[in-house]
Amino acid sequence: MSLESCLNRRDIWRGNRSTITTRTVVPTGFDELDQCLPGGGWPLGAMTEVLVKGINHSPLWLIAPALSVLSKQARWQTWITPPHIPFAPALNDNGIELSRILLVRPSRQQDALWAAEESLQSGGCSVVLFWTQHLGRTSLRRLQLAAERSQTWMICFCTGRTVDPHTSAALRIQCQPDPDGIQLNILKCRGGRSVNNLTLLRRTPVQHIPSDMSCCP
Amino acid sequence: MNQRSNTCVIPGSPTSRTLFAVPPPPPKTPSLAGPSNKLPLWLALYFPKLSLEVVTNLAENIPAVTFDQQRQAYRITTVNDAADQAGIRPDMTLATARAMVPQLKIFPRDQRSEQQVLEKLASRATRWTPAVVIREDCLLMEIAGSLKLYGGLQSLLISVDSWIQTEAHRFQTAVTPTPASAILSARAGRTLCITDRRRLVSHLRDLPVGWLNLGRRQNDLLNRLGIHKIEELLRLPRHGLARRLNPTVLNQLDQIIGRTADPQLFYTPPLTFYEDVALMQDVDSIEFLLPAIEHLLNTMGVQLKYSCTAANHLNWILTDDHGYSLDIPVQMSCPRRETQVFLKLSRLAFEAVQLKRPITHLALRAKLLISVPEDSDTLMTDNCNFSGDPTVLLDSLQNRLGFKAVQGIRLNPDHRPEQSWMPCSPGESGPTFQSSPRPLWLLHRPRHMDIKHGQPCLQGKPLLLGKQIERISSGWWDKNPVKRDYYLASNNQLRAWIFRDLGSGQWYLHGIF
Repeated sequence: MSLESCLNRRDIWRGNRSTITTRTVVPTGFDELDQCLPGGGWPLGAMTEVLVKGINHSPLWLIAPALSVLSKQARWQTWITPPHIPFAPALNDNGIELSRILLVRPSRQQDALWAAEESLQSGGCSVVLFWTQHLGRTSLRRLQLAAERSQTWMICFCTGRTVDPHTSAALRIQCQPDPDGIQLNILKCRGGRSVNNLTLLRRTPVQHIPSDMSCCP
Repeated sequence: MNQRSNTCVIPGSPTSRTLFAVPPPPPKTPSLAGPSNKLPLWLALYFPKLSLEVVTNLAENIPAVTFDQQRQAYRITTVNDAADQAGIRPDMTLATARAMVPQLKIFPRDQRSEQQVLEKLASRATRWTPAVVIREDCLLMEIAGSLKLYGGLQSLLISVDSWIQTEAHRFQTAVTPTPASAILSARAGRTLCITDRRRLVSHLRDLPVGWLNLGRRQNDLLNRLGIHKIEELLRLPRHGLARRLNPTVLNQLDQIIGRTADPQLFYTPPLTFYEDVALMQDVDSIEFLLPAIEHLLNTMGVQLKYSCTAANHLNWILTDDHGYSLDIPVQMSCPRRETQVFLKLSRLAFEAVQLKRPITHLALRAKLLISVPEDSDTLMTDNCNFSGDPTVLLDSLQNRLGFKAVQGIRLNPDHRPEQSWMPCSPGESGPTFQSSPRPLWLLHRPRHMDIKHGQPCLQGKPLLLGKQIERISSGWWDKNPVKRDYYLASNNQLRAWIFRDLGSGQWYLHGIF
């Protein structure tokens, strides 16, 4: 059997080539990160899992540029159980349309999961943000499946300590705080490669909203 | 359930027993007096056993009657078939009837419920014509204007007939050119269908005068005079008739044959919806209520559709026989009319409720708002295309999680960070303004920080104090004055927004960038 015929087999997956090129993405606003992600941005219609050390310190500035782009759509941005108050003046400075924001704070974890799934299924959201200490394997899979059926960006912030090494999320990123920004490890990336120690620098809001940024296929 | 009279007078084919046979179109003559669709045509619906049906649902083989008080005596108003076979007739005294059938079930007449049932039927009848009248114990519908829409008299009558069969009431119908004659023949059980005014009198001739509802004294008088049929009454000299009976009788006769005008007051359905169902057995779990919920919503959907209205608030009322009552409200952010959405939101609202006791009745109340439909339905309507409508999601979340758990945020023009934003109803937009750099996260309450070696510490780790950004001193006019110096501070974990309270000298963490 030659190498050529082996590579032509349909059940051989070649990691160096991005298999999913027609995916809809939203640019992250950070060129270094865009280059590492297939399609050049956060994947829409999929789940992004962000592992952080403490859920109270989730790096909102990392996703703010993408939120600002998505807030141009006439759909909700559902924030489910955020750890603190998303501060309206700062969101406004980041170009996020405040009237699209839906703050959901259910009293029970099941209700929060239900709200996340319902938001994904309804198709009425451009992004669903979800903060939780721990997301079980079943819940994660359900949310990923619900996200796949929608055109919604699902992003989930979890603490990385008790995390399952296997995940059904399309993208899993681990965050290490850095004095000037953040250090990212892309642990899993569907259609892409894992990347270690990618350093992103924090920017002031005015700088990190490029004017020509828009949703691209 | 429905009983129809065997008598069926059809012009041209007296032996036919079809319910509604429409007379063949008259030969076209140049005569101006010929029948025309412009002339009104009245459909009367009479419910002979309504009094009994609203008070009881006894089996037909048990003799049962309703009665009411007329002067000193209790007199029978309605009898069922079993009582009729036993020889009991309306207008008998209650004592006589009980003497004849000792095991007779008797019920006092409930005219209020009867009126409610008639109003309910009337509002459903507005589906076929806007001109619906409740007159005494009958419903009148002026159908000449709807003939073209429903493809002719025959098909309109068939569709009205199939509707009325679904209502659990016995009925008798008649179609004639005048309201009074329609009522008269429906009461008499003649399933007439007359479109030509000139033929009217010949069909009414042999109806008994008793159906004119003249009252007992007048009926007795006519009996003594030997007048039993309308024909005989019509033959009498008008002057003498008016003097002996009552001038109103003459007027009534004129209205029947269409000699004088008979203006009607049309029924306008109220802008509310109320309907209840008695459950077959006690229900202690919400899942068993779903069929009843669906039935009520479908009924409301029909009313919304035909009255061109929409609702933005539903109220479910669950009751039991002992006075226990539970209200489950369903709120919507905008008026809606899709039954599927109502069903979904109601289910969510019911899920949050625990039944403490078994319930026996379920009712739905809704205030209907008049709405102008924004766009017409397409030819191929897709009932479930509400997915993707952002307001449906909002309503779902709010009805399941409660209104406090789902909120929006907006800016508030105030220098104090706590007051510079406020929760609002989702989708509401406030003022926009630029502010000096602010953190993306604001803590619910400023967190007190310890000082170690002259540096503020967070969880034991010192924060490197940056430059002072601003001093906020505001709110001296209300109960929450603020006098603070804000600083940027950071360590290798986070970049924080901290302040020193100028009053107490204490350090606090207030935000995270």
